[in-house]
Amino acid sequence: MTISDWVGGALVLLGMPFFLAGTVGLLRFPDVYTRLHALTKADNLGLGLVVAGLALQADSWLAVMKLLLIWLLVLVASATASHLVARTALHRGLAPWRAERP
Amino acid sequence: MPPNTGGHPRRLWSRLGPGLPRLAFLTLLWWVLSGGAAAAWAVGVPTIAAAYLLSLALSKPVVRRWRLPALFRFLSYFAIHSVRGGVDVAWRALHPSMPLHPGIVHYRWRLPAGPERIFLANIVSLLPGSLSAELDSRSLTLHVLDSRLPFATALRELEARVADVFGLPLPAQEGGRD
Repeated sequence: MTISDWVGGALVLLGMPFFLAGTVGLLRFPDVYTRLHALTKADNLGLGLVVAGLALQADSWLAVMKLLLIWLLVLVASATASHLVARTALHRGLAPWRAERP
Repeated sequence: MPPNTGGHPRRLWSRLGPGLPRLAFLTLLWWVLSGGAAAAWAVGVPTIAAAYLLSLALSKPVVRRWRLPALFRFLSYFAIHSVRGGVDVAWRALHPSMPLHPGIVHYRWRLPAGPERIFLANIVSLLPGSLSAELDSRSLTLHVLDSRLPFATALRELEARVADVFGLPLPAQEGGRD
C-alpha cells in the first residue's frame, strides 16, 4: 500500500455518503424540483470523489483519462437531464413547493 | 469572422483551423477508449473520420478564443463550488427539519446568444442551490433551494467567469433580476 492508495481509498470512502445523501434527498424532498437538486449535486460530488480516489490508484494515465471522461459525461448528462425534467415540469404548470412562512 | 487576407498558409488555416480542435478531441477520445492498442487504429481512423464529418454536418465549427488562465481559474472555482453544492444539498437532505425555502427566479442574460448560454445553464445546475429550468432569448429561469440567498450576485460572477473563459465581452448594463 502506497500513500496514493491510502488517499485514494479515503476519497472513495468520502464520496459514498454523498450518494446516500442524494438518495435520502430524493426520497425526502417535497417536489420534483428539489429532488433534482439532491440527485444532481450530491451524486455528482460523490462521483467526483470516487473518480478522484480511483484515479489516484489507477495503473496508467489512460485509465485516469478514462475515469475523467466518465465523470465529465455524467456531469453533462445529469445537468442536461435535470434541466429537461425541470423545464417540462415548469411547462406543465407544476408549481414549486413553498415553505410555509411563519 | 473577418475575411482572411494573409498568404496561402493562413488561408488554408482559416479553412481547416476551426475544425482541428474537434478532430484532435475525437482522436484523443479514441485513444483513451481503445486503451492505445495499435490494432484498434484500423477501426479507429475510419470511425474518427465518420464522427468528424457527422459533427461538421450537425454544427459548424466556430473559432473560439479560449483563454487558458481563465479556464484554469474557472476549473478551480467549479471544483470548490461543486463541493459546496454537494455538501449544502446533502446537509439539507439529512437535516431532521430539512431547511428548504425554494423559489423560482429569473436572471437576465448578459452573455450573447449561443452555446455559451447553454454552458452557463448547465454549470448553474451543478452549483450550490440552483437548477436551470428554462432558458429563452431574454433570461435564464432557475429553481433555487433558498430564495433568500443573493443569487443574482453569484450569477453575475459566474457569467463573468464564463465570458472570460470564452473571450466574450459582456455589455456594461447590469444583468440581474428580471
